[in-house]
Amino acid sequence: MSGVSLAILCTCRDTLKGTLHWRTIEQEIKARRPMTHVGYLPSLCLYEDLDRVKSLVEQERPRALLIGACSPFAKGRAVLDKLMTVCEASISVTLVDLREGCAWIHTGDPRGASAKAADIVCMGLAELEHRQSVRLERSAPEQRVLVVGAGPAGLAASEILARLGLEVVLAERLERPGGLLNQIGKLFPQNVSSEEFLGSLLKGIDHPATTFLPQTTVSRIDGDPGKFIAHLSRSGDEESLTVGAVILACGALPVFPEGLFRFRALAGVISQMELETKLKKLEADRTSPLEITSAVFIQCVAARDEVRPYCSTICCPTALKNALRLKTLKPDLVVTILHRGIMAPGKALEELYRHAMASGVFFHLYDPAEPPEVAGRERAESVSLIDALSGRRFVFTADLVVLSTPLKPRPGVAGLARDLGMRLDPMGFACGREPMQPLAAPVPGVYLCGAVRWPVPVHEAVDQGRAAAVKAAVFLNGGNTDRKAPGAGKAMVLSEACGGCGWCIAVCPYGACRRAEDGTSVISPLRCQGCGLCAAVCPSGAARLPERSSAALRAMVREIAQRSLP
Amino acid sequence: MTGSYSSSQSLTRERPVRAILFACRWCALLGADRAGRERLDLPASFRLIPVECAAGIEPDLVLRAFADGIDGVAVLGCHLGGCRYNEANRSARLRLFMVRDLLDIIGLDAGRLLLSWGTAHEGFQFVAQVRRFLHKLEALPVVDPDLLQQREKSYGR
Amino acid sequence: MVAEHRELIAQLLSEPGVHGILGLCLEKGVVGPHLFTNPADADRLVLEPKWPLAKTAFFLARSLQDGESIGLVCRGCDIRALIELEKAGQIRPGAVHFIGLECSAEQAAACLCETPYPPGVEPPEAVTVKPASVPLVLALTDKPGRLQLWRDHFQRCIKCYGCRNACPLCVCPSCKLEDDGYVTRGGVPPDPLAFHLIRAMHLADRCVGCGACQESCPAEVPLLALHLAARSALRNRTGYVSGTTEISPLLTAGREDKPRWEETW
Repeated sequence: MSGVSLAILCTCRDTLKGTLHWRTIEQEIKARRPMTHVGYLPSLCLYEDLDRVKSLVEQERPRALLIGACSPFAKGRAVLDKLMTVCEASISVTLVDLREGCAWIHTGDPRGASAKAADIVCMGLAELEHRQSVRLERSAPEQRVLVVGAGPAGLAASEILARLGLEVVLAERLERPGGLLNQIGKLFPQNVSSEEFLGSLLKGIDHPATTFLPQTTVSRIDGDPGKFIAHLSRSGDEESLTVGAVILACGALPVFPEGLFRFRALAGVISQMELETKLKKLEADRTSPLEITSAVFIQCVAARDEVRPYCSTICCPTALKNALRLKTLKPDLVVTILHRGIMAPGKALEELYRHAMASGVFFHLYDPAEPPEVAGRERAESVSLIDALSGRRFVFTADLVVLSTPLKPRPGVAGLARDLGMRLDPMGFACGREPMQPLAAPVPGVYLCGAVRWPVPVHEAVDQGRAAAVKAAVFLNGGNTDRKAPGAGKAMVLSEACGGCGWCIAVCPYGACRRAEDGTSVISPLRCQGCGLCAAVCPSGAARLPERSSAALRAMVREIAQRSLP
Repeated sequence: MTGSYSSSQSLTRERPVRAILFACRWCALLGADRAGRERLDLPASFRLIPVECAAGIEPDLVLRAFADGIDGVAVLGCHLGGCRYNEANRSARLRLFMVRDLLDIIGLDAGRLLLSWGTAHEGFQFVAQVRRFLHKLEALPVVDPDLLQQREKSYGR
Repeated sequence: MVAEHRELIAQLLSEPGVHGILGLCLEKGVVGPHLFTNPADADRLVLEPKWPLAKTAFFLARSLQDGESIGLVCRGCDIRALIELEKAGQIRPGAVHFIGLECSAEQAAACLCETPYPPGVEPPEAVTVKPASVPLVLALTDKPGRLQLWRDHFQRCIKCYGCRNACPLCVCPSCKLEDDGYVTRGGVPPDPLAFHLIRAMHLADRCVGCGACQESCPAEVPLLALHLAARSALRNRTGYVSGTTEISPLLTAGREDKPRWEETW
C-alpha cells in the first residue's frame, strides 16, 4: 500500500463545471496535500463507473479513498455502500458531498464554491488520516430469551419463540399468567370470551423449553446484546440469568379514578375495571338479576387532561362492549355514554359503535370545560350534563355510573427501560426506534410489545408480541438489521488516559459505558450507538469515537482555518 | 455575497468570514441537502461538518475552532424531545450554552456560537438561519488577530 | 481556638486507622503544611494563614491503604474541593475527615468568596462577598471593552501550568492542556481561547473558588474572576452550586428519566 490518497470526483455528467472549476480545485488540493491523486468520473451512480474506480484503486493502491459525489441522501450513500463491498477492507473510504452541499447551493459564486470544494476534499482527507477502527468481537448469542410479563403480549411472544426452537424464560410478577386478561370477561370487537382466549394463549407456553416463573420480578438487566445478564427476584431470592435477547411485555396499569366524579363517595360509582368484574359474575350466573334501571358511562376520566394529555384508545371500545353486555343482560336498561368523541377506528369498531347505537345506547358529547356532574346522597342518583352539540342541559337518572379511565405506564418499568437504553416518551411509556422499528429498542436484542409501549387492545398486543418474538429470533440467529453509516462507529476508552471520573458512565443513554475493575471506564461496542456523549464530556479525551475522533474533527477545522491565514 | 459589504457597514475585515456548521445527520443535514436540491443560495463562507449527534460535539473543540481563527460556529441539531439518542441534544444544549457564556465573559460576542434545535430541517429554514448567521459574522471583527500573528511568528510560519 | 484544635488533633491521632492529620505547622518561625502523626507535635499546629490544602490532601488520600484515613484542618473551599473529587471517584469516601475553619472578612474579600465557611456551618453575617459587586470583576466580566482587558492579561501568561498544577480539581492523568491538538505546543503565550477557556469549561461545574490558581500565577492573570464568572453563569442557568453531593447538570441534562408528572397515588 502506497502513501497516496486517491480522490475520485464525480463530475455529475459534467453538469457541475459551471460552478466548480475542477482544474483550480485540483491544483489547490495538490498544493495542500501533495500525496493526493485526483481522478474524475462522469457518473459514479452508474455501476460501470464503479468498476473503473475499482481498477484505479488496484492501480494506485492508496491507503485512503475519498469519493466526491452528491449528497448521501441522493446517490452518495448508495455509491459508498457499493464501493465498500468492492474495496479492500484495509482502505479507509469516505464520501463528501460536492453537489447539494456545494455546487448547487453556491451557483452564483463559482470562485467561492471552488474554494469550498477544495476545502471539503481536504477536510475529508484530513479525516481519513485520523480514522481508526474499533474491533467488534461478536460471540455466538445465548439462544435463550427473557420475556418480562406474562400478559397477552408476553404469552404470544413466548409461544412463537418456543415454536422457533428457542429457550424461553417467562417472568411474571403475579402468581398466574394473563395480566389484565384475567380481569376482563369479554374482548371487543367480537365479544370473544377472554377465558377461552387466555386458554389458547396458555397452550403456547406449555412447552419443554419454556419456563414460566411466577411471582418473579426483574430488578436489573446488565450485560451486552447476545449475553444479557438479568437479575431476577423470586420470593426474596436473587437469581441471575444469561439471555441472548429480552422482550419487555410488562403491560400498563389502569388509572384509579380516585376522587373523581364522586368515586367512592357514592355507592354505584365504579371504574370500568370494576364493571368488568361485575359483568363477568353476572354473565356466569344469569340467575341473579341486574338490579339497576339506568347506567351512565363517563368517558375520558383522568385522560386527555393536563396530567395525562393522551387518549388511551381502548376505553371507548371497552365502554361500547360493556354497554352492549349490559343491554344483553337487561334489554330495557337505559344506557347512556357521555363522551368527548367516540374513538372507534376501523371497520370492526365502527360496526360495534353502530350496533351500540342500534341497540338503543344513547350518546352525548361533553366539553371538558363543563364536565358531567354526578349527584346523589348515599347512592348515585343522577348525572347532569351540558350537551356540547346542542348546548342543552340534560339530567340522566343513573343507578350505576361507570368511569372510563386510561392505562398508565407501570412505575417499575422506567428503571428497566433505562438499563436497556430505551427512552420514555413524555407520557412515560417506553419507546422503540420510532417510527420505522417501533418494537425494537436502540440496543440490539431488546424488544418491546403490548401496552408497555402504548395502550392497545388485546388482539393487537398479541400481534405485537408475535412480531417481537420473530425479531428476537432473527437477532439470535445472527441477523443484524443495523445499517450504520461508516465514519461514525462505536466509542471506546483509552484506559491509560482514563482518570476514572465516571462522567462517561453517567451520560451514556444506553448503559454501554461501565466501570472496569481498575476504576477506568470501558465501553461495550455492542450497546454503543455512537452518539458521542462520552467523548464530549470526557475531560482527558480518553473516551473517543475512533472512526471520527475529535482529533479528526480538529484536523478538519484546521483545514478550514488555514485558508484564513494571510 | 462573499466579499461584498453593504454601504452601512464601515468595518473592513482583515480576511473573509469563515464559519463552521456542525449539522446533525438526522435533522439539520437533511435541511442542508434540501436547500441544495432546491437550488437555494447561500454565501460560500461556511463549511459544513456532519456529525452523528450534536451531543458528540466537544466544547473544547468549539473553543479550539475559535482559537484557530474561525469566526463563528453553528450547531444545528434536532428538536428538543426529538433526538434519536434519548434526549442527548438536551445535554449538548446545556454544555454549549456554557461555551457561549464563556465567550461572553471574556467579551467575545456570544452570538458567534449559534445553537439551533430542530429549526433547520427544511431547506428554506436552513438557508434562513445560515444566512442570518453569516450576515451577523460579517459585522463582527476577526477573533484575536494579534495573538494569531504572534503565534505565526513564534512558529516561523 | 487554636488550643482547642491542637487538643482535637492530638485526640484524633490516637484513633485507629488515622494515618495522620494534615494542617499548618509553625516551625522555626515558618508556616507550612505538615502531616501530623505524633500527638506530641500537636502544639505546633496553627490555623493561619488561609492556605489551600485540598490538593495535598488528595495526593495523601490517594496513597492510603484500605481502612486508613487522614484528618484535614482546612477551610470551606478545601472541603468542597474534596467533595467534588469524591464525586468524581478520585478519593475513597471516608478517606478524609474534615476539621473546618471559617475565613476572616479580609480573606473572603481576597478570594471574592461567597461562602467563606465550611459547608453546613451557619453563615456568619457580613463576611460574604458578592463577586459581581467587586469593580475589578465587573470590569472584566460585564463592561464593554473587556476583551482588550483580557487580551492584555492573557498576553502575560507564560504557560507555566501553575494554575493547573495548583488547582485541587485538575487531577486528570492525561491533560488536554498538554495536548498539542488543543493547545499548540511551543506557543507562548498560549492561545487563551484554548488554554484558559478550556480549563474554565472543565471547571464550570467544579470550581470551588479556592483561589489557588490565582495565587500561584506568576503573571498575576485574574484567573479567579474568570472561573468564578463561569461558575455563576452555570448557576444562573441551572441553580447548581459546586462542592455538594449534587450531581452536575452538565451530566444530568436529558437524563431525567421520570415521566413528566408525578404519580398521584
